[in-house]
Amino acid sequence: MLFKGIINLKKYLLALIVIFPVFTYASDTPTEKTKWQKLLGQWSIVNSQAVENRAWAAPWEYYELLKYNTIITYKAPSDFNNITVKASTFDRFKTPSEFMISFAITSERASWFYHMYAFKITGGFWGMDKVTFIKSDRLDKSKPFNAKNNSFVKEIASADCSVKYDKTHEYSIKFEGHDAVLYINGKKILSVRFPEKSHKGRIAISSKNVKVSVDSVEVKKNKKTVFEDDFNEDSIYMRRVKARISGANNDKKPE
Amino acid sequence: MKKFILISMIAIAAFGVTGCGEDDGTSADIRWDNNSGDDIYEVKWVASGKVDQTWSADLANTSVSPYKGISELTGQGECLNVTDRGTGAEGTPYDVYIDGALNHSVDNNDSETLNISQVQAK
Repeated sequence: MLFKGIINLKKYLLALIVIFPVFTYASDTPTEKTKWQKLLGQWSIVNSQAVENRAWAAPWEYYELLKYNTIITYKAPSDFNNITVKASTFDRFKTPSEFMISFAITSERASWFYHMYAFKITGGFWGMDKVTFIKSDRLDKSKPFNAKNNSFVKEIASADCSVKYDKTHEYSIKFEGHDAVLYINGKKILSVRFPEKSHKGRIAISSKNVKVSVDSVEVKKNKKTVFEDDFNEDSIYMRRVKARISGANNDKKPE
Repeated sequence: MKKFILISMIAIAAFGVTGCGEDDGTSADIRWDNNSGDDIYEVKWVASGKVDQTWSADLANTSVSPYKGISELTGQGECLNVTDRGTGAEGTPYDVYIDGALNHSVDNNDSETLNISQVQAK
């Protein structure tokens, strides 16, 4: 009896030794430092900057943000009237290169972030030269949320701009009366009458076909800061599924 | 003579059919063996800005997906998590880590099983 008990105890201890490192390794949970959630792309914090290092994005057929390498605020900031993002784009992968600051991101259910507005900056080989104000939402609201290709993108307004690669620019979105206004390096670029009563919701930063390095994000209500991140700490929450190769089934494909 | 010509024609036709049948235009075949502890779905093999192959159906824990052909030999895995349907997180993709790395290469003409061994805690 005693012998069996010792054997069982040994088994438990062995199981603990095996299991414990697995669970500690897997502690990838949101913390107090979490300010963003990664949706797509290879984002990491490098030298106090949030860097997307893949450039290309393989689009998912759901909402617009999943067609870009995107980080989204983990929670919606409280009421605000100013978003300032300091960022640079670099290592263009192909044309069009795209950099997008989205806001008023809301979901009707779970994390289906269909509803959004954004200033999207696009360009080519020499730099980025066009800004477009877009709205995206679910197309047919009678369809289930996971219905593919059920979103639209409407271009509301556009303007020329000049954004060079490899250089940090300051993008400010200000809500002035009924208008949403984009400033780049303090220069007014595009002013649009915002079509909805509220611009509340989450904020996202996205890119496609170009790498991006975000230096800081500050969200303010008049002079009061309601959200800020200078990326001095790892504030991006990433969920993962991990996989390994099974060696037993590696057969040659029939010629 | 007629018999010889007829047999030759049948033989040539048969050769043509078998010669075309095996080439599906893909470079390799992969499948996923899900031992992550969670059920997943919409598993994608993505590469260089495009979705190369998709396994849309639910892939329950301990299940193996069918083989599918891929064109891009170097790529990454992305998927959705069935558990998220009940937790309010549905609609956000996961990265699939293959052998501890995001990127994975498959040899030309190989059939490879990628074993999903773990879903990290949220």
